[in-house]
Amino acid sequence: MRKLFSSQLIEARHEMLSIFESIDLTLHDAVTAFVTDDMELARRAKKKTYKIDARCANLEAVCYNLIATQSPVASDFRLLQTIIYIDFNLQRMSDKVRRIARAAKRKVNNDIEFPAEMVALIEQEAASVYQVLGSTVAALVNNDLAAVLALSEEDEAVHGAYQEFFRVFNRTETMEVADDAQMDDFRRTVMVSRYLDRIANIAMESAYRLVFLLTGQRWGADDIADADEEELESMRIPSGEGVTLDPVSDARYVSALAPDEVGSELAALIARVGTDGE
Amino acid sequence: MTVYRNAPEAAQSAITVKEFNFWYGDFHALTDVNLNIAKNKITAFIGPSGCGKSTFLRCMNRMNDLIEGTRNEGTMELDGSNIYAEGVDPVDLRRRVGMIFQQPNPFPKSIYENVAFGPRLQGVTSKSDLDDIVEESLKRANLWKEVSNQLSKDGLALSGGQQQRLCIARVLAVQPDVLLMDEPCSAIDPTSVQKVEDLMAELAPEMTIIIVTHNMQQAARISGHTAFFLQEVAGEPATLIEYGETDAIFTTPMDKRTEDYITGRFG
Repeated sequence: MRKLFSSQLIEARHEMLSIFESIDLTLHDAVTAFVTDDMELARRAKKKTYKIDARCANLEAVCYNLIATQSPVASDFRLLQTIIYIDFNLQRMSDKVRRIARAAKRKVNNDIEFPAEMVALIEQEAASVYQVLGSTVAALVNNDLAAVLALSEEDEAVHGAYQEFFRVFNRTETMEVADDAQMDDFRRTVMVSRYLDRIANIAMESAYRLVFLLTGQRWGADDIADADEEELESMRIPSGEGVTLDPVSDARYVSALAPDEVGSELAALIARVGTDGE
Repeated sequence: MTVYRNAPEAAQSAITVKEFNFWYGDFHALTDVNLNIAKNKITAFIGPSGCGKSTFLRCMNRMNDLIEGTRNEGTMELDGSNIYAEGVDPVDLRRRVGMIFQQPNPFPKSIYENVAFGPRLQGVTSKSDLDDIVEESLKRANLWKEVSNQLSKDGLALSGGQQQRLCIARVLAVQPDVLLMDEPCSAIDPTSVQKVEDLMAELAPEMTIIIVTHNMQQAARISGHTAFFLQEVAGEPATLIEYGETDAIFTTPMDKRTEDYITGRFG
């Protein structure tokens, strides 16, 4: 019975990571579509987000079903709570990715001319977001509390890019806007920078839940900001196999991520997965 | 080394246990148990079969005295008095520390006589006093409504769940300070389990309750504190591994053995 439950927990964990991978890859597509005015890619990215939403809904149902039928406690329960929390955040991220894909379509459909400098800033901001997503996944795969602590700095890079984007936007001469509808279209397009900023922030919030999973402490961002690595490490408590399983097992489910965006440790694991042909 | 998680202080405890060891003949069954049982709260003892939790429970009203060759070391105090001190009357102790067993064990007598048995032994002879005690005890055991018009019925004719509540009423009739329950719900149906659990919650504000259970969910549902016992090596004595607030034990156990046991992955 517990063997079955253990395998169900691990499946749920892997599905969570796999959805994370899909969101990351779909975000790449949505941003590329926006930058290159690729309608077809934008359409495909938007469609993928609906599939991601369905997977998130299914994962949520699986987790609640396990809670109802298995009455989990201790690390099993913490893992399910963590998966449900991150799953909820994955849905939020999927929504933002979809908005970026829509913005990309709108940009082409309505011939919205973006200054090259602003497009470059979106690309730059997106590159920082990919790093945050990669670091979040790496922290989850490796149960790496130190990586969680480092995330806020990476998120600040995203937020800095977002602020710079709007500074540049505000300095840009006001466009000739035909009507309110065109103004709305333009506003939604400009919001891509904000969506990217939110995706990074939501990813970081997801990673923070690792502290709860591994220590049982419900720390908020402020607590984590004040913590040091040694303090966090000393708070680790015993956990079951759903939490402490071999990172290689997890890496298999995020193996499509770009190695240069996930940090050296996870990149090595992904390479190992590829080499082993697993 | 026992891990303690906001365990009760001695000052707020009904029972305090220090360096307690117990032997069945040559077999050292329990070693170095230190814990305080919170007064007027529910405490659960959990652990695999053979881990000494029932042995330890039975030490609390000296039921083990009835087994030849047993002995103990250390101290076990009820409200500050050593229950193993010379001069302590085990029968009087068992009035103060009542016990409910896994299998309901009503006497082969009427419902009324089952409940009146203890008070009669204590010298209560007045019919009206006994009537009051029987009614009050059955009400506290949440059984009165079901049996009030059939008090002369044989206690053994009741359902399993009702029999268990009758046994609880029988214990309550002598007004104990502590109620020991050794797997009280393992032989009754889920509806009766719920009634017994509700009853425990109702009694706890005025009575210290200690329950041995193999049902993790039950321990998590009803107890304020949980003690996890374990015999790690066959033939070696068992001991207390982790003890403290139930929420902490079931959400963030600090000892890997506790984590493994409560998540069902022991061994």
